[in-house]
Amino acid sequence: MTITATALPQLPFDRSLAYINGRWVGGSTGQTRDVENPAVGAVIAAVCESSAGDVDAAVQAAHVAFHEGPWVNEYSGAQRRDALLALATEIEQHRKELELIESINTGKPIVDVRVELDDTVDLFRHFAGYADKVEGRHIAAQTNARLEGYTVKVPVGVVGFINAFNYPLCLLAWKVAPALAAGCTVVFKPGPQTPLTTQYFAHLLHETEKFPKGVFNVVLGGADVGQALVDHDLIDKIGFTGSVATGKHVIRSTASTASVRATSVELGGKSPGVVMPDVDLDRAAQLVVSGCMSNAGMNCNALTRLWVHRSVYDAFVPRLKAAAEALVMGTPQDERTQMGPLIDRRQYERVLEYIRIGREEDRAHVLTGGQPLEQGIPGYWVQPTIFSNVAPTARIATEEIFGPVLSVLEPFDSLEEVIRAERKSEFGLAAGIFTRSHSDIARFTRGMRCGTIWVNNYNALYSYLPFGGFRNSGFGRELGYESFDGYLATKAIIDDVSF
Amino acid sequence: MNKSSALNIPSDVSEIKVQNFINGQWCPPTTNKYMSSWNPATGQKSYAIPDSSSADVDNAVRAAKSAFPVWSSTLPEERAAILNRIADLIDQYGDKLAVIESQDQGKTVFSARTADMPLCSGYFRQFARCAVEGFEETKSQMNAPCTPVAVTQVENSVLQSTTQHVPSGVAALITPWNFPMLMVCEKLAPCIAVGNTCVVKPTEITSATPYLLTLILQAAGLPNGVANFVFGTGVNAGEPLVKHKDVRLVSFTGGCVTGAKIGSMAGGLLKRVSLELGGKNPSVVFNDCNLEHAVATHIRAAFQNQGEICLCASRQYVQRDIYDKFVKMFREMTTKEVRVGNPGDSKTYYGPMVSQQHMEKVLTYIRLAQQEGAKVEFLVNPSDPAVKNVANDGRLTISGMEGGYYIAPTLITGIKQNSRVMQEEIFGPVVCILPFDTEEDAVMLANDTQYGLGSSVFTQDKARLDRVTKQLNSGSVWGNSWMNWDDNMPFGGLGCSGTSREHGPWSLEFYTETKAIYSLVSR
Repeated sequence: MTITATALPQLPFDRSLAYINGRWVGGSTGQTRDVENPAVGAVIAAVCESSAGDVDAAVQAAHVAFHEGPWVNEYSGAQRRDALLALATEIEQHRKELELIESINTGKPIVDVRVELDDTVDLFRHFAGYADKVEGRHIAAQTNARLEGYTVKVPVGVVGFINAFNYPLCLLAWKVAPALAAGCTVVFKPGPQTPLTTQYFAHLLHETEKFPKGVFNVVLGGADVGQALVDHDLIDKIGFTGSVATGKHVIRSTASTASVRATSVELGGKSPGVVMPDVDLDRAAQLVVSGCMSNAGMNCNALTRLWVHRSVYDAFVPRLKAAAEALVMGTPQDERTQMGPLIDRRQYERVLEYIRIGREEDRAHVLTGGQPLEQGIPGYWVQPTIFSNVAPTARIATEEIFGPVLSVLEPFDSLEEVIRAERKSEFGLAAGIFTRSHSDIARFTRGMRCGTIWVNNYNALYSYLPFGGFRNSGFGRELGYESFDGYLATKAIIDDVSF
Repeated sequence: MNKSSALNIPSDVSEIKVQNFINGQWCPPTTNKYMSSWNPATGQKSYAIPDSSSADVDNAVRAAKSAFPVWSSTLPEERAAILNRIADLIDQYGDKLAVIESQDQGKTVFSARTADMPLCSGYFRQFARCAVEGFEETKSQMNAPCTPVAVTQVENSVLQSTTQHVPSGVAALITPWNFPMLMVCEKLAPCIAVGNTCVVKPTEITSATPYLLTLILQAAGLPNGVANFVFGTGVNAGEPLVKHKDVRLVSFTGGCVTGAKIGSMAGGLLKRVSLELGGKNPSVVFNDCNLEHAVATHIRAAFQNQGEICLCASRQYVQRDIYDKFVKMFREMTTKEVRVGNPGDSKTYYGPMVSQQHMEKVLTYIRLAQQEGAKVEFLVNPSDPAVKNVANDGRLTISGMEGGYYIAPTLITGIKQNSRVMQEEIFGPVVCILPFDTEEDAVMLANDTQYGLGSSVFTQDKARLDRVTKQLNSGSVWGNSWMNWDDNMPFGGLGCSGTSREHGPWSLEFYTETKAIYSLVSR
């Protein structure tokens, strides 16, 4: 197997810089960070590392833009709508460059990135449609004819975003589109491994000339930079996607500054799938494998633990093995490639460690995979891996691995036992059920405590349906009207109209 | 995707060749009969329009009906892309469209460019993504928006209740001449955004920009048959359209008499109908208002768009102790600033009446007021070089445009509340200003009308503002303002002003049918 390195295209801006207050600026300390192509483990760029001072400059810019600039104080909702529409068009017109850069920087198969670009453009157009439709309610006084009450919705203020590395551009759109549509201003920190498409996005936003300076800012770096953002007093809300541990730390931090701030956190998951006896097993096997292995398993809502009904267990498991072994790996920019590498060495070693735990501690059977892709090839490649007959309490079945590893649990007999077991999970992000029975669907969708339930499909997401977690999967919703509402604050006005 | 070929929008309305637009093709009327249209600024014939008949209407409705299954199940985001392209093209050609609009309707080029055209593209953008609470997009079988409402227990089962808003079918959109292109866009945008197809029948008096809109729709990639345009008269083309068995709903903006006829025809055939009709809109001005702001607003409310706006405040009631001062200021400011003349001239405030017939109608009311002994003043600056003559009834002769249908800004005082001049819609630059004493008087006088479209109240007293805005009987009420909009607010009238509400979510409601879907699932 040969994995070839594709060169980054020419970029119309200096990719080593961050974007603060409408200008491209270097980090004030002069430090830089290397950015890799994980398919071959080679450095492709060096970007500046923002300092606490740079973060402060960005937050100040966003603060001034919000409280004094025209974005909220003069622009109508329709003007914000039109700015976002213009931005969507810019993204659409430059999608080929964005697709290539994202694929090279993350190792995602190019065919998958194209769908992500479709989604990114759609997200900006969808949330633009909310910008001119913000409404409150007027409630006529019920008992007191003199007092009247009404609500007014206003943008929450300056929002700081800390993004994960797994869907750099797409998750940027999830966060930034509704925040800007609501009238907020933004300081955005991409995952340290994946800054490039975020910078390109800032460039395109700048090119529209419809966003006043300071409305959108980018800072670059790792945990320190994220901490500086979270600790900044002038941030009104933090949006975070990442691990449970860091998420809890972020939540604690938002309470320890001079004023408490709102947060929305999208954390991990250990999302279950359930295969009932009455389904087309071939189709279900395909959906389960893509539900798990999509994005090389680096997907917070990946289907990573599978319940299979006892009556179809022996027929189903071989189909899973075949579907996983049919996955094509190769140079991500090749149209035939279906699964890419892990994002970096750290993730690669973590996944291999969990595979070892599965074998040696959980004593689970390796149905397929379980090894790096090929000894000696560069890049961070791991075979799609399936363990079978796993105990539901095993470490590989309960801890989030964030790689292409599926645990098929011991066979089950009743849906009730599945629902009971899953309600005890520390996570609650998503679940999938494969069945033709309406009553199974009714019981499962009512009984499960998680943010998204897929019925006879998996991973389908839409700009208008909310997404988010229960328990350690986080709180707050992204996508849908609920996410837009999360960037608004409600004021109630009570007026003695007879005075 | 940018179209490389430019649209053929002419620079002068006389170059326009209006054709019907059916199923994506421009075609002559089946009878090959045409009617003339006139340039109201000069009184000259300008272009010809099809004198369409029921055969043309049949063709158009057939095209709309065939296009419906595919258009109604097209993904909302695909429909939105087309609507956004339409908006972009309207903006791109806005300057040229404004010139044509002015030459066809009489309004100033300035107002067409700065008011009409941006509102047109704005409607397409607003409705492109109908992300309004209650209309969340869900991919159902017909791509119709669904709202899950409830999941309740029924014995040993679960009842899932969902509302579904489905497009209605073929709509008839019948539009007036005061804002020719804007009125079409206001209806067309929400109608097709939710998945309906339609036949548009603009008034025969102003067909130019509606026709040019068909070029834009085609260039934007609107599929054949989604929007069809039939040009002609109300009797020959409008009536067969309203009565056509395949037309499911009718949206009409225009005069009350025609509106009542359409309402009766459509209602009798069990079609859904929206009627936006006229008004005889009052304004009440209290003695504690900001006088200069009030006078300036009332001048605009009287004379904007030649007074040819359904919302014009043609009955202005001013509290007695500031009455003389108000009228004096009104007279002086109007004479100084409201110049009537060539609509292409940037200094012109308003242009001619839309047609000879309409001008005659307005002059009739002026003469009636004179006959009744009211004081009738024509507020024309005697040193305005453009005005060659002011006739006894207020008709103006404008230099270089002697054939045009111009009327002077006309101020009437000392007229009786029950005069026809005070009770019937004139729809021209004619305003009556009367005094009142108490708040109760003001509300009574304002509400003494068969109409109820708009009204205004001017006062700095907060409690009075609240009381009076709640007591004025009209669909829109303005406090210390006139005709300021929010696109999400409902618009429509009470009484003879109409029967429906449109704009924002109300348009989405009108253009869709709501279904309730229940599903009982055993536990």
